[in-house]
Amino acid sequence: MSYLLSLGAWMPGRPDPETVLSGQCVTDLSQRPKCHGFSPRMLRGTSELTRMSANVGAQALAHANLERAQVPLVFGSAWGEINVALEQLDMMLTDDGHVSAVLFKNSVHNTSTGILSIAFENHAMSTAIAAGPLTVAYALLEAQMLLDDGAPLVLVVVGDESLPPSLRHIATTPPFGAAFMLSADPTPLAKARLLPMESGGGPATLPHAHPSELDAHPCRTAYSLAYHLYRGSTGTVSLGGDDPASRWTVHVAPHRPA
Amino acid sequence: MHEQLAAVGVLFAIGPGDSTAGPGFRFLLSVPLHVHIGVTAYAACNGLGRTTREVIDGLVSGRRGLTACPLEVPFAVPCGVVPGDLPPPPAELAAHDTRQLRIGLLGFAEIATAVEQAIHRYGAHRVGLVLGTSTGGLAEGEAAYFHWLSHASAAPGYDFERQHVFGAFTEALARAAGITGPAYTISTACSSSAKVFSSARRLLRSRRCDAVVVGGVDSLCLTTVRGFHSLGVAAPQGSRPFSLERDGMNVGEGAAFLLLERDPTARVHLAGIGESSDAFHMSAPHPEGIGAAQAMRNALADAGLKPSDIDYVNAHGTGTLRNDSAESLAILAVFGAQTPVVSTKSYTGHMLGASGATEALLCIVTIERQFIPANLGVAPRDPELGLHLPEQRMDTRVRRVLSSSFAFGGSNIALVFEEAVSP
Repeated sequence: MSYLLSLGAWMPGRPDPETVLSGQCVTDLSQRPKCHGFSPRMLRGTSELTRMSANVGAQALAHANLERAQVPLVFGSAWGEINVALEQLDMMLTDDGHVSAVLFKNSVHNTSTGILSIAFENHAMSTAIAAGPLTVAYALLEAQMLLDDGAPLVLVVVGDESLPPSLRHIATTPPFGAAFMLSADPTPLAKARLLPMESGGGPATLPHAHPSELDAHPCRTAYSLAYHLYRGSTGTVSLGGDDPASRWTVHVAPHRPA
Repeated sequence: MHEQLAAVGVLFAIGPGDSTAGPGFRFLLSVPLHVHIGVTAYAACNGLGRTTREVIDGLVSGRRGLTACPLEVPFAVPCGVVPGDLPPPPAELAAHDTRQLRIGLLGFAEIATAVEQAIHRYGAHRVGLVLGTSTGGLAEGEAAYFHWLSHASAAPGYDFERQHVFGAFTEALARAAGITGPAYTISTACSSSAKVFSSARRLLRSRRCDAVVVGGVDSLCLTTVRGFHSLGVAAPQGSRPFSLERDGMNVGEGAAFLLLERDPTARVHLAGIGESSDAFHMSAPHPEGIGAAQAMRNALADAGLKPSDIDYVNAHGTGTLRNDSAESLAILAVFGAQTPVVSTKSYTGHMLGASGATEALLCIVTIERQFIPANLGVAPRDPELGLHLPEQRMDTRVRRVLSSSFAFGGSNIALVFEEAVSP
């Protein structure tokens, strides 16, 4: 059992869970994720994925009043830092052909956890996962196992940015990121509870909730999870898997303190 | 803060309140206070050789596995290159074909029988696969992007989601091995395939798996070879960790796989894991090695050991000025100056996402064969580091080894491997 303390979410024009989950655009679609409290120097040369992850992670930490806590971080992304990777390749073909040291250090899959740990002086462990359409499932699984192993809190951040032009034939999707602040114990802030994840079980009882614009987004199941946690739904949410044997689900319910 | 950090890696019993019946009851947690996680099989290939035996022979004999970089780069630098041709994957995995997958399949072939036996013992869905990488299929992604730039169309046969993305090779290897349990990739740069041990232990402790194959696979690509050059840390003559004359590191490629089971009879156990984050800088270690030292202390505490229980430290030891300096301070702070310290990156190159698992494997070999490897090219040693750095192989009693991995993003992990006590 784990408990949701807070959420973070971001999509273009939708800067927080309420607007993301209601589909209500409140800012310019071209506006990048805001990263208050992150030094501009640290953010130099970072991708939209990293800024989005920093943004949603910071939202979840702030809503749970845990900005100064030592919290293990689990990051998940299927496509990772693909835009930074290709930007480096562009540099190899121009001028002297040298790649940027700044871009190189920001090209690793765990850039987001590095930025979050630095910004919040968080010395707890972190990890970064990639598992295609099951990325959200395995990120949540890691978080649940960390809580079972004794960590009192775990911050899960998942997301992917839009693919660059050379790869748009594969998928066209807006960027989307979400964060889940999970606790092992039902603290007064706990809003919902999540049972241990299941694989190979029955189908989800709660419907997919993501908007059609996220149909091709590899982390779209995080939208449904956030939606049902936010709305106080009771039932099982699909975290991906095409067939019953590889299907992952998690049962969620609102937490009502005794 | 330190108490909270230590708590991350320490075993806790799960109270009855956590085992609430409900839809998840099939995964009720039953975590014993101490689980012997044994290493029951392993395999590797890298610049030292195509087979585990060649790799071990290279370590025992003190041979460098570096050769001229085969990639087109505008500078000369040695790299660790898996020698010889790499066979293509079987037809059913053709869409996943990358150099990374070919290296992975070459390495995996040697452990395949042990994995088949584990599947037979436990069932395919009870065996997990957690692999580390920092490159994924980036080498093929580079070629495909250059094709797109010059032709304004996708490269024929290129499949981004099966070749480039970091989860793809784990999916392909799971299919090749017949593993249907949890299968995912950890990518935390140079600590990736050390971090997999932490994930695997959680899978075993939580009883979601009865066996987990861990490992790491990286292949050479332009991005990493040129990227480390851009940071000014590529050693033109081969890396010499902890030497007064050290001038950087060399990228290597390779694969390593280890089979982990809850097996008290295994000869070597994973005894402890400690993790931390520097929270200091994206690419530079904390200059005093504070995060690195914390990871080592956490690993010792997790294993219930004292620093003096460790027979030698397998250092991250990249050969860069900053890493070796910061890491030395961390080692001195935790172990003092008497514990031998070895870096094997002068043998294999720095295999980035494959280095943690490879070095874990080499540590296990030294416990099985009772020796401490030599530090190649360390003379003249840097006297300011103050470490005990063997220049020759030491044939001596080795019961326990601590192996460190550090990475961009300030990701630190230390693993402790221990010889099983004979009944």
